[in-house]
Amino acid sequence: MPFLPIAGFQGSDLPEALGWKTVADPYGDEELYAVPRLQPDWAVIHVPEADAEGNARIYGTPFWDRLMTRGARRVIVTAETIVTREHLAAQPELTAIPELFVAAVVHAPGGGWPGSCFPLYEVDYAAAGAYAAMPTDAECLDRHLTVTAPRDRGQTSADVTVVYSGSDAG
Amino acid sequence: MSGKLVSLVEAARLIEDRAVVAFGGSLLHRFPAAFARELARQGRRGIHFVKPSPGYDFDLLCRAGVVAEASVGIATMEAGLGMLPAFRQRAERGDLLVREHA
Repeated sequence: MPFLPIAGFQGSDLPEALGWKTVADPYGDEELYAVPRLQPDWAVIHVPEADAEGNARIYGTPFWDRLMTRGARRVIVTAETIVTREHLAAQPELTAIPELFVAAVVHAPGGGWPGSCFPLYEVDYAAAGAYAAMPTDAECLDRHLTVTAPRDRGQTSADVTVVYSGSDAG
Repeated sequence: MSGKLVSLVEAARLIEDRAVVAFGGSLLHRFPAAFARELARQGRRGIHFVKPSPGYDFDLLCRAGVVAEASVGIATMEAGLGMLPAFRQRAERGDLLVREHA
């Protein structure tokens, strides 16, 4: 789809700021804004469970993640747990992202921290607040990236409370 | 095991400078935080960041100079934690191209 016609922006400055053009309603007299296509090169999605081929489950709300994986040219999945294909096949309707879209899979336990990953862990509000209060200088950023590197790269165990292991992952 | 299983470092290397990258999740929920941090460590540049409601991931990549352009809607830490400080600073300085998609 090169564009999508939408209603509801009449009176807003956004269409002009974003350079949106209009299309005529072929069935009536209305002029509708046509939002241009935005195709990402990549979608990067964090999930609780994926298999090694990139089939992935999302528990709870999927937000826009399904759309992103269909719209992007390629997808990277980072997963709390790598599960077997049989585990996903037992309830195939729960597979939100099928493997054909996925280029790479990363085993990333705690990879959503300081955010939540339902149903495994909640938001770490203390850490998120500390980040928000952190000065924006390069030294603070370097420290933040250095401190988190061992865990992110799997060199130490995830520092999050796992309340649900959820799978037959080996 | 499949050839698709790679390390976080290897996966982040797949993203080219100036790529258009959509990030999953919403605000402080189920977003690829470790992946965003790895892109920052690798010094990726010129990324066009896409997400309807970004939080920490977007701010971190603004802070690290990874993002040059953004197509975003609401961008905030939410939950009483306030605005995204680095995003705000860069937007106010005018060194970030922002397209608001409310």
